[in-house]
Amino acid sequence: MNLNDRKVQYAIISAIVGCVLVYLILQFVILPAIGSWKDDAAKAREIRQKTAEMRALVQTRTMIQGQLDEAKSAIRKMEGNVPLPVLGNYLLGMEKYIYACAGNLGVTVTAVADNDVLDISPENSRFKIYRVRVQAKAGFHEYIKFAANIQAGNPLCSISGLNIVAREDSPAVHEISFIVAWLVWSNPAKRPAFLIEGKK
Amino acid sequence: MMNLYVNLILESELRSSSRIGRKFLVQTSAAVAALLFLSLLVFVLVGAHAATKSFLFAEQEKKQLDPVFRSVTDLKQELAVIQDVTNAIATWSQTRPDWPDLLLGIQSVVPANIQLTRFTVNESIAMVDAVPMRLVTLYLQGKAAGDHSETDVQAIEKSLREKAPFVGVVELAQVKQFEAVKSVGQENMRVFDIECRFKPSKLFQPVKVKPKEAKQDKK
Repeated sequence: MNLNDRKVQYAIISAIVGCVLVYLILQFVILPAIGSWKDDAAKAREIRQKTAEMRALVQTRTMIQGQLDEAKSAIRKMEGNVPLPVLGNYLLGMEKYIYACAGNLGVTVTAVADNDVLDISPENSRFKIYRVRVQAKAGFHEYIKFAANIQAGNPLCSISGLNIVAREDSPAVHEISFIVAWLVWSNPAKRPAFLIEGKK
Repeated sequence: MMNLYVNLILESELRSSSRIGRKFLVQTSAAVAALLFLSLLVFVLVGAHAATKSFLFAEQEKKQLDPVFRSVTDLKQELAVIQDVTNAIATWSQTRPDWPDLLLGIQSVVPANIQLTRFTVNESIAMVDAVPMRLVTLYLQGKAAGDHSETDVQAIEKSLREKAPFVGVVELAQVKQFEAVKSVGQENMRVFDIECRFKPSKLFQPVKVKPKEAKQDKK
């Protein structure tokens, strides 16, 4: 090869220029394009995965709506068993209920008074337990019927404490002191919106 | 004289034995390399463009789905809240002891020679292993007359553990006290005390949603 030959010189210069061009195209066009291709492909894959998950959830909409309607209807049915305060007072309604349950059973209710309000859990629960103490005089069988009336009239009302003491002077009638517990809303104003809307 | 031959070839007369010329080879290789490089360039550019388009399309699709997804997420959250309420109501109702039935049961297991003098039930709600539980304890105090008073009291204790309606409800029934009455004329009389602990009943505890998770759901 004769380096003095013009053609050879042109060829060498062309090769050098070509290499530089290739390097520049690689560095500033091809490599960034590959990078963006990779990034976009990864992002698209991620979005498609997320979209598939979203679509899967969207497809359960009818099922969720069905469950929601079912749960709402169950709550509406039970709603009447969760007492609401009348001007902040729960006792009035509960007293009325107790006397109604005693009816003509031969039970003498002597007193109904507030006992306490219990939290179900330290976590923010939607419900509390409102308890009233009832003093009564009754025979054992009459008391059983009374308790049955209390528990049957409201499935959320329960006997939560009981003390029966035999009386020496009248063995057929006992001194009975018992606690009746009601499930009440922790904050009646913040009960589920559909219940409040239903009342309006 | 000997014949002397000298093979003298001038440089301009030099020829390769190959039929393909070097110049042609170099030019063809350069052209092929350039073509390959151009193909690579086109391939990469087209691929990158397609990936960008695909990404934009996926993003567009996600944007379109987003409002529906949000509405379903809200619906799901509402369902969780409502289910918390129904579960709380259901567990409260299901864990309620059936007192009329239990009282009749107690009456049926107490023999005629035993008189109950005090009947006490205490119910409390307490956290056991971070779960709210309904805890019920029943105390029976009474007097037993006759020679078989000991076996009769033991029979009550056994019935409270094993007979309906107590079986499955009572966890422990134990005679805590059994002794003679110290009054004159009542030597044959015994007083006893039975403690009866019910199985703790789990009340519903809502799952606490961490604020971080709630935020992520909203995204």
